[in-house]
Amino acid sequence: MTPLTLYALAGAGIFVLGLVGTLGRGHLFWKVLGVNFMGSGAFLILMAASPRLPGGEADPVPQAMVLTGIVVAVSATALALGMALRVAVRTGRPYLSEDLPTKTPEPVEESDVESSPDRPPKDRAGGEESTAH
Amino acid sequence: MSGAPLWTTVAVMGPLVAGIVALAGGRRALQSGLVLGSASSLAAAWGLAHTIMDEGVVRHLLGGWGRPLGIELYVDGLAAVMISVTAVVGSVVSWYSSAYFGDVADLRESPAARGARFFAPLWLFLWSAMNGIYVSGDMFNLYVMMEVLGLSAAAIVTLAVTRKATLAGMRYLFISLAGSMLFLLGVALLYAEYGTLSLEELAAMNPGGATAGWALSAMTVGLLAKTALFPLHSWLPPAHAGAPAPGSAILSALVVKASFYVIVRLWMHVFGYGLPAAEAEGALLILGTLGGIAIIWGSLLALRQVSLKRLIAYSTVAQIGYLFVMFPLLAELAPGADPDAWNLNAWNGGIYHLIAHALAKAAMFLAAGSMTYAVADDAIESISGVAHRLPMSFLAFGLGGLSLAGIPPSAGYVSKWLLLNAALESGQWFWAGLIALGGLLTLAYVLMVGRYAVQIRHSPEPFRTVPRRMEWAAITLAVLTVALGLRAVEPLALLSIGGARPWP
Amino acid sequence: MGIPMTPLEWGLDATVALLLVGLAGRILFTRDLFEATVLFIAFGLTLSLAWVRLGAANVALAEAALGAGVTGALFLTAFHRLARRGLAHPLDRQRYRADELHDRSSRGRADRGDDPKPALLDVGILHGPLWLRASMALAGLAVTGGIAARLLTLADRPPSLPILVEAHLAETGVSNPVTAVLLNFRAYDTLLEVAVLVVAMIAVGSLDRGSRAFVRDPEELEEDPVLDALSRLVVPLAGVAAVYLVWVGSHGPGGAFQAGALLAGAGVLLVAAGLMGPVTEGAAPIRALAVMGLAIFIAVGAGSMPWTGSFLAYPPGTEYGLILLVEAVLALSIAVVLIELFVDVPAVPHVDPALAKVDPTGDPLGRRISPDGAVIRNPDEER
Repeated sequence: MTPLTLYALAGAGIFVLGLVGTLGRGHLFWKVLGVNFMGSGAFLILMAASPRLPGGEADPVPQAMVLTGIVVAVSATALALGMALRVAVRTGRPYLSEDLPTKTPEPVEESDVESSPDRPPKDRAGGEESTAH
Repeated sequence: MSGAPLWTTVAVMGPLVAGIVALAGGRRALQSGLVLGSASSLAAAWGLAHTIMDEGVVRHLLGGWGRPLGIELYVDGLAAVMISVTAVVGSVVSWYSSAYFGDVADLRESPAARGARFFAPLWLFLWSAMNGIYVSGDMFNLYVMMEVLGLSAAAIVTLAVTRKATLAGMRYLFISLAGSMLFLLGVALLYAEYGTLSLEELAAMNPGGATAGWALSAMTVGLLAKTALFPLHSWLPPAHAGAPAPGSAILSALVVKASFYVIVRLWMHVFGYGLPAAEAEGALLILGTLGGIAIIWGSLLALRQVSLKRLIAYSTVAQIGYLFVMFPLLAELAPGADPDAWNLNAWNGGIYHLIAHALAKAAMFLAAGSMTYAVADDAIESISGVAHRLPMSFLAFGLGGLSLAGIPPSAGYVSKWLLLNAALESGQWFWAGLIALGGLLTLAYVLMVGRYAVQIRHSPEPFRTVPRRMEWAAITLAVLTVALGLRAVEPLALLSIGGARPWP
Repeated sequence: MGIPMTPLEWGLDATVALLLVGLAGRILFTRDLFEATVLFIAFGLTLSLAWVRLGAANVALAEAALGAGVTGALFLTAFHRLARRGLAHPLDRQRYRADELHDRSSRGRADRGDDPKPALLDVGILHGPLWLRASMALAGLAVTGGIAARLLTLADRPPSLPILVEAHLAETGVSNPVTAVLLNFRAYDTLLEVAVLVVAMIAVGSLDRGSRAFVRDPEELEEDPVLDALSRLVVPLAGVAAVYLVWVGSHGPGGAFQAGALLAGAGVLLVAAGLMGPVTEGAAPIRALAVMGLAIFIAVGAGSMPWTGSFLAYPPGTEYGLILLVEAVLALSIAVVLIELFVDVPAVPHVDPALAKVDPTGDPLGRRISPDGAVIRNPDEER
């Protein structure tokens, strides 16, 4: 097995992980992440599995395609995140269902709260009005 | 400069340039964008139809390179038909939309103004992407086009302010993106195996074997999700029903056909010879069976809807089924037919159904848009009596619905007749029964709406005056549906160019 | 990557490949969105390392700048917006089990015309019962195995396309084969890719009123001295590097997209650090700048048609000049679009439960009509 094949196989794994994440996670941000991984996996396969020149140099055509794909992925991510935030605004939850409980679940663990800036909104209450317009 | 390079460029770049013009945002810019987009698309459709009538299948070697190094645009009868249908329906919807969204300058800050400002540029980019898909002869180019299409289509859904539309647009975007990624995976596998991106080049290599099978499966699943074939249809009704009326018409009549077109290209032309016969026939049968279930399931759910636009959207789920019923019929040949070609009646019937559905569904959604615009409510009950206030819209809705049900004279009748013929000449009674049953169910839900619209339980109040243009747009499409039922020769002659056979 | 591999190189590749899969798995299955976001940036950087190892320096540059940089910044911004309202946590598996949610949704289905909701899909199968998660894992493994088996048994075909690219490189006006593909052989794809960017910009712009201008709160500004210092250091460098990248793209790794991404990265840093003012909504010059690349690309492609007979074919002798012109304009436009995408990320205002419950009207655009038939605009849209 050459390193090329290794990357191609990693690409297959990442693609399927992305698909599972897109379908399997409910939180919209993880779905966006999942779609991104599907793209990265396909790009890896495109680059690593394409035939090589005799000198072992990479084929420029897949390189150009992956470049294009990366730009497309950024565009799609921007739109998807924007829409996800809009869903959060209109339903109170970044989920696709209208019928989820609107109550905010408590933060899971103490360490979680400390390691991330995802603090409960109460200490930021003052800032809320400023972004409301 | 001969016809093909000019008209293919106009078909794709015309709406794109128009979209850039419309982006300037003012009232005049929006209108000139829509006019420019419609004019260039209609001109391109006319030009391409004439070019291929004279010269047969034409190609445009972009950059002067030709395949496999460069990208080739490929126009045969099918592509020309798709571009023409898109141009006609698209132009009428553009005309309708300029009235539907109202006065931009007046409503600067309202959601309606947001719709007005952004609908035109998004729709024009979407239009360009659809035309681009129809003329594309390159796999990776198809992927890029589908991304333009997916992003703009999802954004059109979310132009509606309702919570349901927001959720539907989000779901649609994910379906669309995941579908594109599956398609891209297929492209990557095919490039790794065959070293080419050109569809014609690939077809010439007779792609078969396991890798081609996996690639084709991945691409097909992705495209089926975008086309909303049962059981991947659940995103469609909320998205198509939730969008603003011109958006609903575009999405239901045209956008789902773009991914269907790619499926047809792949299965009928590119992989037509390569796949092992038994497996290919099994796959075609699966597609047909899913289509059959979609017809019954979609129609039954349509009957249960209490919201008008959802009913029409479920009707789309059912009608998409007919497109796929074409597949198993294609492979069954009448005795004495050319063994290398597909069953011609099935081919003509399937594609004619696509045309019929595009015209009829656009007419129905536009008419429904006028009715719900008038009463500002989407429930079937609340349009009670609307037929008396908006007779033209009601007529457009009815003609479209009857065409879908296969009542003569209409395009829907021609397509169902052709499909029935295909089923009977190869002795497939089951499909014939299914096609007939689907027609009856369609008739049932169309009459259900008709019953509410005609009866006067209470006069629809309050009632908002519907701009004349909206009513005329819907009736134009409905009349075209009837006209194509009376005169099917020309479209079918155009479709026959390039032939209903796999590419060599 | 040369043909003879040392064990060390082999080990490096194996590590990078495993790290990529591991990171992807961790990101998708963690319950901490912040961790996922940060690791996603790490994934992008690792991926660009993989591109280097695969001999694709052009791609590596773009991946670092766009995949890790801009996408990472987008995720971080969006995360902040979400986290400030306490919405970043996924639903708790124990408390809101999928079956429980399913019950709720069937009870709440009274509103008219709704089809049964696939509640489990909405919440996420990965939060569902064990048997579902297990079968999903099995299906995933089977598909991965299937694709892997195909990748291990690819036909050993000699390369054809890269040979052709090499053979015709001299006619393209540039000596970097990737740039030749992007701006000459397959320039059509590149043109449409710019169209994708513009569509995304229009679409994001259409999402929200009110939040077009992204101004950071002063309090947040104080929290990020690092960002501030970083941007002051990085931005001037990025400007110089972008010009260099456009120029070098014709003969070495580089080009419009990398340059545009770099410029955009600089712009995003400026905005994020609060050093660049808000981009006002609907500013015509900015929109013009954003679509200029696309417009000029189309103009160049169509303008030479009378001489060459096909779209996007450069007349002989003008290739280098036209490609450089297109690249320079594209870099600028790409940068503007990317900054716009970032700036346009909608804010999450205070979620008003009352607003969240109400669908304005049956009219998709939220217009109401009064008894006398006049249109009442919907005042409560996204307060």
